[in-house]
Amino acid sequence: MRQKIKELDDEALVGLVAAADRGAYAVLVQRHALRYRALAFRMVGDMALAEDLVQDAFVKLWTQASRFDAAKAKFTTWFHRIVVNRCVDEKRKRTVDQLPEGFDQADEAENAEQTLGAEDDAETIKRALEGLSDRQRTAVVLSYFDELSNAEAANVMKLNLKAYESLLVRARGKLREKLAGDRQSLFSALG
Amino acid sequence: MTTPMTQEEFAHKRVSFGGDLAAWPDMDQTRAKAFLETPEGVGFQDQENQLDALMQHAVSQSVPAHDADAFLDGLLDIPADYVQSSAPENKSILDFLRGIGGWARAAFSPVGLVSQGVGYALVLVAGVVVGLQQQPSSLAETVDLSTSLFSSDITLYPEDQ
Repeated sequence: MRQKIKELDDEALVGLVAAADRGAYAVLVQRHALRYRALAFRMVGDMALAEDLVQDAFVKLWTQASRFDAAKAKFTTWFHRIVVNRCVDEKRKRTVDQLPEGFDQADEAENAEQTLGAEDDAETIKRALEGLSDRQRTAVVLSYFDELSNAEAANVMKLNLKAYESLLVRARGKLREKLAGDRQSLFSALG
Repeated sequence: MTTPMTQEEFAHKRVSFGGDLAAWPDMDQTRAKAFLETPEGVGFQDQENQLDALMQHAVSQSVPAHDADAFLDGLLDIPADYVQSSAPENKSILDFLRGIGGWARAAFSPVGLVSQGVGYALVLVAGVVVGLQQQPSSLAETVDLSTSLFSSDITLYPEDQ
């Protein structure tokens, strides 16, 4: 029986979770939890927070599985939405909370010398991502880090494909600008 | 004669079809190749490739190692700590009609009809009893409202005057 549960697809498992089947819930955890932890980490940049947010999402899966409608969306689309929304909410909350103290943001040009040394590409991208809006960052993370197709990512963000692709084009444009700006700062710091 | 591809259009197509021109529709491929032969196209493609490479590198960097087992154990404990909410009530129009049907069956059953008859009789008797106890004090107090409807001096259409 256990073996059979493991062979079921995600949507069937959520149906069992709605009927309080802990085995089905455990299979979903084993199948997806680490992937969503990585997604949340890329959204919020803090592993402990990412784990908390994914935990919230799994609490929602357990307590509200009956709200899932397989006719409307795949399980992964539905769950992506839950995790992404949780991350965006938390990030907004933290930005608002931190504003009074961190409002005097340092001039990046002045920090160029410090960033010259050990900063690697991942760090450069991470900083560039921070400069994007929530929606743009979400689109970049879904497409490039989580490797969803444009159609899947559009579905997660509840956008039509064209609107999603336009969002991604704008996000890439902003990333290009940001990275070009970084290079400029680097060269001027080098003299 | 096709219109030349702009940088903006190229950026959109690149997001839609990817960085490999071979995967683009034939018509767009031809126009994109022409765009990439312009200085603007060369510069833009260079920036796009750099961004892709940077992104690729960032993706390949694994998420920091963290105790996966402890994390998974915490998630597996959730069913023991949280109560499931019941399924949302999803009443359809059919459920509504079924409710009305059930009410109608009860109302028109023999027991229902007898109960209604007894109820009406009680209300009627109570009305008669109350009416008998309230005699008018004098006939002068009775007012015939209908008299004003037929009086000749009432002004119904002042604008005609």
